[in-house]
Amino acid sequence: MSQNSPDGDRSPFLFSSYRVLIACFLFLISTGIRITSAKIPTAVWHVEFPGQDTLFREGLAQALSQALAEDTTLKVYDARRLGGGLLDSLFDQNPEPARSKLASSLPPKMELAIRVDCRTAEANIACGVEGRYLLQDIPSVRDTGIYLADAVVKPHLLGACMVRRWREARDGVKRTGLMPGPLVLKTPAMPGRLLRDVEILREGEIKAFPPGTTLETGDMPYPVVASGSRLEYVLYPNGIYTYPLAEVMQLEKGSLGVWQLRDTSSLISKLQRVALPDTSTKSTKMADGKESAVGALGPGLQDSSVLLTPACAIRGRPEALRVSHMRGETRLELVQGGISVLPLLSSQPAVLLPELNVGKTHGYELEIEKLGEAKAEAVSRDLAKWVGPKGGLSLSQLLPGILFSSQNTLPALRPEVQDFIGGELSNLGMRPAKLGLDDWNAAGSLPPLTPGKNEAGCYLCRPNHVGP
Amino acid sequence: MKQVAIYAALIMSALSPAGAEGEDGYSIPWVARLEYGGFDLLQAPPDAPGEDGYQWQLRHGVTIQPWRIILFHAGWDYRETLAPGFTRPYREPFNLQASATVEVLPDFVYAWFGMGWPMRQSTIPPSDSSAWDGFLSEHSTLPDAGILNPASIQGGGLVRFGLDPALVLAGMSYQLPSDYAQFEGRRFRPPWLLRMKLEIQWPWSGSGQSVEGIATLYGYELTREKHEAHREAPWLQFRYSATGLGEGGLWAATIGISGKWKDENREVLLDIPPPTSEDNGNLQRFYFEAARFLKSSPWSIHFAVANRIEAQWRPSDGRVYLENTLSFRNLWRVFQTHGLELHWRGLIGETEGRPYFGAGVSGVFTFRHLGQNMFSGPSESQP
Repeated sequence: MSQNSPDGDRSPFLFSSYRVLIACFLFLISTGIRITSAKIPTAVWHVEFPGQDTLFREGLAQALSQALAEDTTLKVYDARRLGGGLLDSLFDQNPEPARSKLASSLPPKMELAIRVDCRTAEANIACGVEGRYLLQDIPSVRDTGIYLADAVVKPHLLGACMVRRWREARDGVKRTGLMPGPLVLKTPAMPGRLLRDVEILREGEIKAFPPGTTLETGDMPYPVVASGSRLEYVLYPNGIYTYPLAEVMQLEKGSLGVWQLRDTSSLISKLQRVALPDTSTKSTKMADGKESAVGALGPGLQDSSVLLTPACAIRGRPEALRVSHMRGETRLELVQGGISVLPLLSSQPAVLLPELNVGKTHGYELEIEKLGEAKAEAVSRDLAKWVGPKGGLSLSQLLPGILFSSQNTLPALRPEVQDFIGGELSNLGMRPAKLGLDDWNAAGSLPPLTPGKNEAGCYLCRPNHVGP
Repeated sequence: MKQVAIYAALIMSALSPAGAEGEDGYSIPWVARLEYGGFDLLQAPPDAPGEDGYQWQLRHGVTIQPWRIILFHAGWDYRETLAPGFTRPYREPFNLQASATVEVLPDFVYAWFGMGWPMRQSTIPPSDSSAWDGFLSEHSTLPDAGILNPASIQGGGLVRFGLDPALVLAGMSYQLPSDYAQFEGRRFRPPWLLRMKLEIQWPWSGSGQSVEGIATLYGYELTREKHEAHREAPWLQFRYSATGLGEGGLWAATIGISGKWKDENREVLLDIPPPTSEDNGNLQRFYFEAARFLKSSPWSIHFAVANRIEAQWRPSDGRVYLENTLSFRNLWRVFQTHGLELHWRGLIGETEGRPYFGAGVSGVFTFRHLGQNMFSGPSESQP
């Protein structure tokens, strides 16, 4: 690794740089080790859940452990297997005996114990999560959240929500960056319920709809309009809408506005009675019992209004249109009027769907077929005689999937920090790749623009004069 | 080499306690990046000493995160450049790089350290000195003018803090003086440089905005005998970027300006005529770039197109270069986490009414091991 000059003398730079290199490296490593002191041995010690058996509590403890394991500062153990009966006494008034026994008897020295204590709160569940540091004099971190009662059927999601809340309370970090802002409801949704996974964030009057949350509209007398930066969205009564997280945009390779309109249930009568007198819509339960939403939009719909399904956005002035969404495919049967359809995952522009046509899309290309006269009559009859049975789906069945959970992200250094430092290191010719998924079309970070050839600061890399 | 081996063993032993994290089912996230590409100058500018030139490079790098707060990067490049007027290509067959990044205070203070170490570089004969100086000192059409990579070390720090809703990144890096002996008989010591950068990001009306300012200061470049020979002038750069989501996908736009004062004259010159003008001989630049990222297709292919318009002006002789660079990029996400990118680039330039142009292509494959299964929780169950 030596560089000898043509005239034979050894470079003093090499010797000095070795020393600087080693000193800097050791300094950084020792700093990092001192700060992290490796991972914190952690265990879920106690789970209390009224009305649930041991099997459920063990499953919830396992779900909590899994969620905690995603925090790379923690090393999670199944402590109940290791600690036996000592564990429950750890949270007694005098935990010292148990603490010392545990510290001496267990192979790994546990430093952080997690205790979960749930109780019923009206129709919901209130769960407190307490993290107690055993070997250090650090105050306990306790957090209490309200969760859906239906969440018991999804212990994995429930555990993930609890851990997420607890980690936020522990870190006290407010999310910053280029997250999309909340949608503003011109008229508050009342009654409504704002959820994040199975956690209830707010109940009653909902005025804003932040990203990453699910809005459950109640039996409102009329639809409400949610305003974004470019589009306005109509939110119907008794509907469930999810505003995806920025992370979801990255994972799903989609874009802003992949909403889920799953259950329009009883909105139809409200629409006809109050807001859109020319509108006829209906919900039906399909033969196989799967999710479905059927509706017809009338001329009362404004040009700026958009109906969203998970696969496409629909705009225009339809007079007779049936919309259904099953197994990821949106089907539009247009008998009268005209609409434009924008598949949400496609790069193609909005497509005009003429009347007496059927449009089908999974979010990509819109397939258009002719709607036969007999079928059109059937659709018209269907619309004319609509009835509005309930969808028959419980809320837990409609909860977002795991891709919508914010904790499922790689806990790497923040992308903007990696970008910044990578730009500086480019002076040395480096092109370090970022840890984390590519953000090719994410809204949360700037795209990798080439800033111009002279961006690098090394004047030898791009000088104006060089050499003696 | 013995010293290096001893130090490496010390470092590895220091790492070993926390390196045992993997035994409990955790795995360390890492990412590998391979880039292969080249650029061919099909028609050189009229003032270039040669007719054409080319440049191609192989880049390899691995970034690993053994702890949440520490990133290590190591890589090596092969680069070959035939600048206009060179009699033979200049090669860097084994350009080593390494860096470490530490999150000193969580989410607030970061520090890094990096080094570049080219090994077995080829030499540049005196007969190429004019072309060499022209390529480095004057206007260059090749996309990566960094054919010179003296062994160098850089350290820096970054402070990140939020001024809701804005995000502020303020950093400083210092690069040590180095030594360059590949120019036959003309060994010299490039100076230190200090770079200060301030970046502010903030959301506005559904889009992201970013403004950056960079100031670079240089020390004295020294001769072999450590005489002060030359000093680069301070250099200022500003850049404003905006990005947002439109109905068709992500768009982005950047506008930037770069200005540099007049250098202090050198005492010893290469075998080329000395500067004849007392005016500023540094290029001043202005550029505008617009990019459009289209949504993915059913095959998970992303498409991006970017166009940059750049004007360069040299006050000493009044020469103006106008360039337009059009880039197309195809990006695939392979098996959900890995990435493949193809990048085509075309350049059309004009100076004093005469055109020049070139084209290049490069491919980048990024292999990611996330350490955890993002789609179903940790990759392995806990003990």
